[in-house]
Amino acid sequence: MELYKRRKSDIGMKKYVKEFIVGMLILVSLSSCKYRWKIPVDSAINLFSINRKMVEDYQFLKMEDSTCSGIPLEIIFYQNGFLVIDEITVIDGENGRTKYLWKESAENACVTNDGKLEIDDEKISNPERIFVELNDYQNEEFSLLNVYPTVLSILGVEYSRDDFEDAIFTEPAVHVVLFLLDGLGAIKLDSALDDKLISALEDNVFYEKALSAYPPKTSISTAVVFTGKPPIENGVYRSLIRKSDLQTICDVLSEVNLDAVIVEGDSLAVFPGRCEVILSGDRDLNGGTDDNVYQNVMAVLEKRTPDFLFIHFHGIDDIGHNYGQLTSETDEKLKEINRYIESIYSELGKDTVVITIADHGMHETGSGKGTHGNLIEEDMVVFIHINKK
Amino acid sequence: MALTILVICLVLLITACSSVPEVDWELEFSGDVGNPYTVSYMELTKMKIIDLQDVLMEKSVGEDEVGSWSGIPFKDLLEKADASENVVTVTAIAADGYAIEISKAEYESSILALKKDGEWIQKVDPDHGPIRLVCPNMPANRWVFQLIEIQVNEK
Repeated sequence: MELYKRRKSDIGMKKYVKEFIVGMLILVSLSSCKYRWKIPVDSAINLFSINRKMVEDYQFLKMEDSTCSGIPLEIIFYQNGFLVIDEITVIDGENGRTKYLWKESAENACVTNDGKLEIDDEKISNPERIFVELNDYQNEEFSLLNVYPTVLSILGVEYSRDDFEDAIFTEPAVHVVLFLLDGLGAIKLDSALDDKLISALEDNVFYEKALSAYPPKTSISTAVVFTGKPPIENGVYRSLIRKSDLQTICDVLSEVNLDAVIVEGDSLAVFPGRCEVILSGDRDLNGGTDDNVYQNVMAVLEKRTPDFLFIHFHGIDDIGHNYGQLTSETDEKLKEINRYIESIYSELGKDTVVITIADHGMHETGSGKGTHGNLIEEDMVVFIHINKK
Repeated sequence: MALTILVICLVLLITACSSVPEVDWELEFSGDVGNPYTVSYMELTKMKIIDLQDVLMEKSVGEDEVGSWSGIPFKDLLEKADASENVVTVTAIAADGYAIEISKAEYESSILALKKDGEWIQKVDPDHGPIRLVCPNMPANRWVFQLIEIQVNEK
């Protein structure tokens, strides 16, 4: 009888344990449902899902001052192959389909750690799918990655061609002069050429639109130009990273005893490697450094033409930030820089290839100023212009 | 007994927080100066330190930052280098190769900061330390961290 009672109590206990385990399993699976989420992303070129792991894995790419609690959508988009975006459409359970013009929403578009979207201060709790409309320049053939192999090819320097993009101009020359016109996107350049503001770039042996890198900012783009590698490979993928561990153009040239001179504005965007660096602070206190850059370049050319001369004019970007690009102030600055380029060009000897590029473009803000840093045509589409003396 | 251990732990903690961090770091003053010299981090910590409260750092992206910093007046360090009145700019060079030319007007009220909000930079934010040029109300790119050299430039 006692044995029967114990068995009965054992059975009862087993039942409770079983119920407890089932309950726990339900709880665990419910909580893991909340933990595991995905948002499918659809585009003409790619189909993938954003998930928690992706948000965690890309944290290191986030800007230090980002206000996004998870990860900005742009970082996820760029790492999955999107280069220039026109608009996105979000489908969610509550609101159905909502379209966002990327130019207006990119800076405030974030995916949180628990799979919600925050776009333009609006919270989307249950996003079901994102459709991404890409810009035509998504398929642009050229980018700033082409500059590194082009410079080395022109100067006849050996490099591992399989590891880099193609050189776009290979006719040999003794000198290469590389102008970087900060903030002059392809859209602004086209209108400046139409308005005859920048005659120095009217003639060319090569002129094509090209893509910048993300985020389209000076240090990131300059590191791409100097190393020939995208940000994720060269290590300069966000602000405040100021040096790549990869070999730069200057490093490669110094190994074959070619001299490289960098004439910068008042600061270095990124460490250029083994070359002579000349900074051009605003010593005459006129509020800009372009005249100082010009004077320093002319001082260099008075003595010699280096094998590689890099010249960085900052003014178009500075004026654009303060006044916006579609202004007479920016047009005046373009004319000034045009005069400097023409004057420098006239000082160059034969057998010199002159390459002119921009690091990024710029778009207008609501307050009549300019800014850049997004995966939009205005910021991402720049140009490569080549001329030969 | 427990109270004694707690007090000892607290004392140790406070001592550890306020003690000067041991850092092997040097800053060189060069260029157009009568007395080029190199000063170590430990020597800097023994110099006259002033406090700047609620200093604004202008940022190109996002909100400007406001903080309190303590350090050596930059003009004192230039005086020691015997920099003349003709100085127009200094070039601040960081350990990672970053360099920026800063005008006299921009560096005039600056300090070579060792502490941020009362704490040694080296302890609370070593990536931006151990010494940092703090240029009040100026853009963030002038606030050079990991500073190793100041080149003085005359016109």
